[in-house]
Amino acid sequence: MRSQGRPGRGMIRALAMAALLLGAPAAHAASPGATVTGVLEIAGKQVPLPPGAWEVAATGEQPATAEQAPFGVVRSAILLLRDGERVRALLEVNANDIAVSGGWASPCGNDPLPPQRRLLYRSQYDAACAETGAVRPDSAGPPAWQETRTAIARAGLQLPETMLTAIALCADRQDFLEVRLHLREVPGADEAARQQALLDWATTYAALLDEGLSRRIGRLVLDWPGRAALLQDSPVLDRRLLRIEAMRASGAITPAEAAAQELAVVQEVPMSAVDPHPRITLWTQISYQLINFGTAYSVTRDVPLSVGIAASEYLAYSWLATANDARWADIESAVMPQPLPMPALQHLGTPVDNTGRSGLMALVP
Amino acid sequence: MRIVPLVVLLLVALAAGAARAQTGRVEEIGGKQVPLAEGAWIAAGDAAGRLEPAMPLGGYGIIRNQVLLRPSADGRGVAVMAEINVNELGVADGWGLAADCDPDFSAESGVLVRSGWDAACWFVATRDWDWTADMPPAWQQARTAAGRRGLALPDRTVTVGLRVANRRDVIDLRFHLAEAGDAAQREELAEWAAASLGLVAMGLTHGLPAGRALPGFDLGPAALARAGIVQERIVRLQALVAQGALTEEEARRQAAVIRAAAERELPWAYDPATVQGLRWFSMQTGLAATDAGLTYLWTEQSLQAAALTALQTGLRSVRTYLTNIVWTHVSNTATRSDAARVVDFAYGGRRPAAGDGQRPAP
Repeated sequence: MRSQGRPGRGMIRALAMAALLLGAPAAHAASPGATVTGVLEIAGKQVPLPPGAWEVAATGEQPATAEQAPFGVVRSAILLLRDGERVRALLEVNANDIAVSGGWASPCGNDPLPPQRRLLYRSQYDAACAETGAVRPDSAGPPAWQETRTAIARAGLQLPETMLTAIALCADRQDFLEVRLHLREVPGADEAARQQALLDWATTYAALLDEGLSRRIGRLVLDWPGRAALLQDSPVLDRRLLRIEAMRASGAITPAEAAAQELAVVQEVPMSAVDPHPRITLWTQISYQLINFGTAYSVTRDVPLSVGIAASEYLAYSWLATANDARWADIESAVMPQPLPMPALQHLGTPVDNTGRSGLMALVP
Repeated sequence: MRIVPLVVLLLVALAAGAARAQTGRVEEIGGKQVPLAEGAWIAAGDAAGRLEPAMPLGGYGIIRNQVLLRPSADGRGVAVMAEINVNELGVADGWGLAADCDPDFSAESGVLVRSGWDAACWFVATRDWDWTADMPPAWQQARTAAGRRGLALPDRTVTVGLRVANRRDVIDLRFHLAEAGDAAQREELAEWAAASLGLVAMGLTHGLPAGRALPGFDLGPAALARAGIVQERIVRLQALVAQGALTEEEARRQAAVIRAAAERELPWAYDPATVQGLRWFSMQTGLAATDAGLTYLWTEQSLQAAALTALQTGLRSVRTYLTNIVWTHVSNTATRSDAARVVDFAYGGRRPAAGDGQRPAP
């Protein structure tokens, strides 16, 4: 959440205003061998880059799957950032090439979400989320990663054994953009603090991807995980406030309207679709059986009879839920545009948990 | 023989000129691309618009309202007026459908996407114009600009409107045609709108190729099919083949999927909240019927069965209600129903007082 009254914020805003007035940075196309700063352009979308001169190590397409939907291909790029003879960070980007019409099915996964995944918003046709983890940058991964490994070996660069990973994903009705930032190290007192800093950064970054989907990334101050909080906690929010300030200064908006708009900008949060009718879960099933048994006993005063009623209703409910879901799945596809399944993406390396063991880290199924 | 190259050059120049005349234009407004229909347009009005009725939709800065005019062939009047409303800054919580997409207000309409945050709809309707009345500032400027150029403005138009919105942005694009009116022409305009809506949606995320305009209003169905969103996607598939990113076979397969999806496109989509609600109601009805049948089989007493069914249904509803309250408090994410809302702007024309296949203005 946005903190108020932070010392030095006025100076930061002044610097940001100066940056804004300088105009949007040039977006660099993802071509192998190029060095890019600021914003990377891929598949008609924009990806904000943490500070530094990033080298585009490899570009390519995700291997096509048999059920490839009508989005052309998934474009991939892997960028690396050097720190002397070492690889300081890797940035992995995936984006669809051709827009679709009905969005993507559960791009942030299904409930219950794992604890290290944070949902910004979710509805029938859009979603944004962030996640953290760790990865062993071994030989597993898509063709672009194999090319990157070759380039790293050729340059004699050192890859760490494991890297901390921040994942951000943003999907709307037409496109998706997924970015993974793999870092050699993240500032923090312990593993929990590092993961928290990483998750906070990934959450802010996912909001930036929202702008990248519509190619609206302008000049902004984006820092590294663990350092972002020292500068500003929401570059998107600050930029919107600065734009309103610029409108007021140009006379496009009255001071009173500007004040109201600034208040609206600070107060608004992306809302998620509420599911007012929770699906059949363990809690639903248990609570239904307790209710059925309790009510049956309160009327019949007969335990065996009540157990019989509750048990037979349990079996009938299971069948009914399955039949109802199947029927409504058909109806939904007939009355609403249906999202496409998210393409199965290959990512670099092998996910590991805190102890270095292989684990699950697959924000995109 | 020297004349031959000159003739060829002349023909090439004419062809190029004709192509330019058909290119139309794409307006860059509020970080979005708004494609116009083919033709030569005159920018006539550009001012802050407003939501009508006013509603809190977040910090959008201002509503940009633009009016463009396309003169008639004889240059004495206005053939088409374009009316654009877009937000300047992206918001966090979405926009909505235009009320005119409701069939109660339009002769022809279609809602392709309807949800709490996404919208895509079109309509064809009649509009009356009172040029002496108070109008939004952009229209006042347009009225002055037309007067200065000696262009007669129409009193009644057939209006074709396109609305697309996502969580961040909205484009409301309306073309008011001075000469169109019978049912056949309206059906043609409806087909035009359905083919063009996807292109406007691409502009919402700044995804249109440079210079990509909307097709002309008078294209037949065959030409429309070559000018709409389906063809745009297929052209991109071909580009991927040319780049070597996609095999020809895969491109053909994907093109077939795109065409099939377009044919299946729903003219009238329901929103997810409505479908969820109906799904829940159908499940609850089934549960109550199951309760009644099973308790009667076990007890063989209709009174006991009825009492049990009523109790079970009531308690389950209370349980669901309480679970939702707990769920809302436990969840860190702010939520609202995935139900579409209506968001409108102050427009230039007015709905006819009555008749013409439309409900009168409220």
